Amino acid sequence: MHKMPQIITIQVNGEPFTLPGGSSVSDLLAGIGPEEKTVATVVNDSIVRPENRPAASLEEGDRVEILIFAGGG
Amino acid sequence: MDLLHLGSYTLSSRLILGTGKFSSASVMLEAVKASGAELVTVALRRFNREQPGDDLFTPLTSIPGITLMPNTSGASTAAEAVHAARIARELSGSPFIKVEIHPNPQHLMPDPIETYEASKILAKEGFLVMPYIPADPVLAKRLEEAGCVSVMPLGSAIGSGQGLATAEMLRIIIRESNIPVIVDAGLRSPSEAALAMEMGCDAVLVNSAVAVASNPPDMAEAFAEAVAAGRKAFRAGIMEKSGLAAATSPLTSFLGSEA
Repeated sequence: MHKMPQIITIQVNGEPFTLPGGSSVSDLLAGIGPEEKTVATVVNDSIVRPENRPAASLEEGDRVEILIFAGGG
Repeated sequence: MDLLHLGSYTLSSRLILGTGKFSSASVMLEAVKASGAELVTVALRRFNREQPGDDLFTPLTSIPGITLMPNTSGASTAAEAVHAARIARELSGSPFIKVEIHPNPQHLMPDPIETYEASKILAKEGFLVMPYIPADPVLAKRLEEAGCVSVMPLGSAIGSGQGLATAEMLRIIIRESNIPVIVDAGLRSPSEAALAMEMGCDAVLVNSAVAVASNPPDMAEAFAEAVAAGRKAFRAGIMEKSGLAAATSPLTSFLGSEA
């Protein structure tokens, strides 16, 4: 009998989001859609650089910001 | 060559283009290309999976010769602006940051105190800091001393099209400044951009006037030509004004005259 995967709830851009426990920032991006190089990622106010995303595992309650460049003056 | 020096960067175009308010990304990209701008501003925003086409990173960075200058719009304090700048640098790979802190959406006037504090911190962190400021010569000098690579005083309120309402203050800033002075905000038409350059501004930053034109790429090109003409005139030496007439044709020896 195998263990049921744990589900965690985090905040992504201010909205609740659920994903399997042990997921990384890279896993989150793969599930949501943006190309890795076109976004900046911030977890609990700390920048997570692209090269660190695969190893950056997410925990219950983490606040994740996924940011892009949009038009602006 | 008449080049604009900003930190370690040298630019041949003195027109900086904003990328907001365009009807579509494709029109904006055509305008950027037509403008010849080498520096363009972008804003940091949350990714929205319903609107993935909002992302401008890939299309802008695929235009040869373009460097991104992220702004800190949305920040209303120095701390927020510093945080936004650090995130933006990770994404842009560019050292440029336009420090833009305006707490009141009614008038969008920059907060001089928060702008100064953020600029000082970011300059120490190695950013090429370009603060958007009120046309205040004292503030401009303080920002120069804090290590900014330019100051960007407003001509008039953002998006207002009121032109060079601050002209007299701009003249003082230009006279006193040892770093490039870039008029940012309020320009409505190419003639105003030309006038700013004739006054001795080092560059202009334009967004709304191009973005809301019926034909943005043509307007971008018109601004580029006006900026180049104004700069050329400034360097060529503009004649002094006089209260008296001074003839351009000889006033003597006209046919039939006595002498």
